Amino acid sequence: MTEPRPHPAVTLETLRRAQDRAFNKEGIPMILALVDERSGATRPPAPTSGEGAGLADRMGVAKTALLPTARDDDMGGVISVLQAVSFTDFGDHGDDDGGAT
Amino acid sequence: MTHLTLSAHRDAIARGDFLRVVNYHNTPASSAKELRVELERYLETHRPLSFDEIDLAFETGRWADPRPAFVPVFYEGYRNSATVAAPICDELGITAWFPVCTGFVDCPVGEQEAFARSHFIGLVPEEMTGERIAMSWDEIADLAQRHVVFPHTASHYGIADVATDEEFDREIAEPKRRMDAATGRSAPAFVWLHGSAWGMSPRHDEAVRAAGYRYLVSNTMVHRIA
Repeated sequence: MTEPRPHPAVTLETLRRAQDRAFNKEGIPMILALVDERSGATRPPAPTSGEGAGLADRMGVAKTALLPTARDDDMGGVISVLQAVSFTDFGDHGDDDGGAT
Repeated sequence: MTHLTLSAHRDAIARGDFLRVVNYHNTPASSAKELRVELERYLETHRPLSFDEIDLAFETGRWADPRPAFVPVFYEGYRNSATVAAPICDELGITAWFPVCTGFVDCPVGEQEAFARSHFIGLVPEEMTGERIAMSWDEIADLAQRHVVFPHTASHYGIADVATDEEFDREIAEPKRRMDAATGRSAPAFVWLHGSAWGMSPRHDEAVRAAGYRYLVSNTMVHRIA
């Protein structure tokens, strides 16, 4: 495995490239939060992940850049923020044509 | 119950409670080369991830292997997921997830294109030959030996499409019974059309849990439910 490249800023163009994919030949990179819905489930406290903390910070920056007036519970906005951050995190291989086929 | 907010997602991700997936739909043979190249590129910076590691992370609160990982997910139950995507994943040593619409699998071959067109399952021209375009149960059983296969409802339905007792059984419980019988394993997860999250409807949540699933996969979360 090689080191990932630095992450560029999230812009509206990032969101377009993340979402406008050619579904028959390109995957959609996405970060999924892991949550426990079991009643009474307790987990040992996990140390804050440096990688996760960085992603969370970038989600806040992306939210401000893309949807600054969106509600915290606007799930459409949550999806867009995660798609854009996911794309810059691990889905942008540098030669994407923006989804054109 | 987890709040469906940006803050809740940020909090979980900040703790390290997240995983990276790459969502695919159909993978026609004409795109095999591009798919292989794309998966190889993900492998340059991310390792494959087994489902056992996710179970373990929920039990221990930490990842056994902290290196960045990813999971490709091939939705719907296309035949080419089994004949094109899976062999590439096998060659590259990648564990993939295959959420399958079991009604697509059960549909007579002659109706499968119309079924796809009627249930938001996208096709490309090379699939429109009149031949089988959905996975077979034998292919599902074979995939389950090396990958993670689980139901994506029977009819590619969303929460709003499921209201009666008959629909609950047909779309949630019966797909698991059929899949478990075919694979000899317990399908670990369920996913709705549109990736609806846990907490949208108590009745639907309870039906998913009662059917025996341990996880609900949504657009933005993996919910451990049992």
